[in-house]
Amino acid sequence: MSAFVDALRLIVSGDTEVWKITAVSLFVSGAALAFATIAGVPLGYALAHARGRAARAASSIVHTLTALPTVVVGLVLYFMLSATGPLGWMDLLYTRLAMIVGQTVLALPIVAALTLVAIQRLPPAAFETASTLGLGRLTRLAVLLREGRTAIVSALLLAFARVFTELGAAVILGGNIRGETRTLTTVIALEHTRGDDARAMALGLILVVIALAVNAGVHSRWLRRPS
Amino acid sequence: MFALAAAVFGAACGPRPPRLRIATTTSVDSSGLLDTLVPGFEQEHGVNLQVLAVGSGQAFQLGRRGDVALLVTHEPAGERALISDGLVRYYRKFMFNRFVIAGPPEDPAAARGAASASEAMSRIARSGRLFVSRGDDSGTHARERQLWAMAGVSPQPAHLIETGQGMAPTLRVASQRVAYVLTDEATLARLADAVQLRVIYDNDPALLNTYAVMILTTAPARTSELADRFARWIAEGGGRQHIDAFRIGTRQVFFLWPAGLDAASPESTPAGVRAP
Repeated sequence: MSAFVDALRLIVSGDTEVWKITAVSLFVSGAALAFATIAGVPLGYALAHARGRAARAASSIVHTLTALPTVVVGLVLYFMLSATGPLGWMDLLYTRLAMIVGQTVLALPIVAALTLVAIQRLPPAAFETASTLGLGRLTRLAVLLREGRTAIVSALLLAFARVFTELGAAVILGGNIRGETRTLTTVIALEHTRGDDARAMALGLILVVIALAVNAGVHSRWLRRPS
Repeated sequence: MFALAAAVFGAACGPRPPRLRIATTTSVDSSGLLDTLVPGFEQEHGVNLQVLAVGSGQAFQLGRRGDVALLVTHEPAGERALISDGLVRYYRKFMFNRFVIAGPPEDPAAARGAASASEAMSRIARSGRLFVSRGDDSGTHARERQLWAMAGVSPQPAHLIETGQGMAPTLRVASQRVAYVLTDEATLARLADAVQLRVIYDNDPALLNTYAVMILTTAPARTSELADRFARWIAEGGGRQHIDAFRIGTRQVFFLWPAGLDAASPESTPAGVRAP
């Protein structure tokens, strides 16, 4: 109960650091989702249309990668981006960009795999309509994506929830640096380690409220069942 | 168009110079000392100081890999290993406090009456009471192992709980399980109201906890000069006032390294100096 009071106090007190941390969280996860969408939706669409053994293998790989553990993604990218790693020259470790890269890796398979499923599940009539209309490739893509939009939006929502609430990659790649790479999840873990559980709970409440609000908002706009 | 977007994006994400990235032990951060040191240095020098708060073991690793320019640690043996490997360019002890053995107020292992810290540890091990270990290669964990080695005995595996977590969660576990634990006094002071633990033993030079600042030869060349400035600031300059003035409540938990005492070797301790 006192956590709620603390949370409300934090929110109304104009504690600018809390807002900055929230903004960094939204920026990093939003950017990761954008990249994952740009790459993942066309990838899923292409896989849905591809035939043959290679395409089947690629589909199962994409499905399998949805289960990548966040902390392993963080660790592998850490070794690559570390000063002595193969990509150390890019000087990306402990920046927001490094966190975005990590979260994109986590979100991409979800977006691609669920887009693939969404297109595959479309009724055959949708494909027939699209081809009988004699549409060009791009228009066809647009028509089919439109048909499958509910499932695709739900895929993006799931991918966002995954990266916005993950800790493993964010803390390893960002380092929880104050004012730079401190996000809601990394600061909650930090406050718990420091022993400030009231603040940790308050920040946790903000994280939960945002995660649920995004879900509820998108759901009511895009995913509501026809009544 | 894409290049423009990439440029804007890069500017938004990219680090802003001049920037100095350092690693400090968690106790320096969780005590709140960093909250006064960092703004103090940033204001005096116009530098963006980025701090990674990690255990000493991880700090050494980050230093070896060249991911940070400067380390603040409290693990003499590990520091000596880095020096022996020829990786240390600058080394100064700059402050100290104590580790304390904490435990249940009733002290069921009767460790309070021991003649030394290692005897207290030995009494705890022989009593069959629980001991909670950090188990994370931190400076505190390293001292725990040293004390067990000095005691010539260690707890049965069944009586040893390894948390693998920071000091505050470890103290909570110790409190919950009615166990003994080795802790730095700063973290115990801050959690005093939240845990059922008392200081059981603290009066032994073997419990002195010394903090050093060092710059490694692996430090990125472009931040080398900034690292020098911060190291000198904290060890010899304006940083000393911040450390001396720092309190948890009304309690001083970090003490300046006494002038004239050897600050250049990891094994040096302020033993014999008035116990804080």
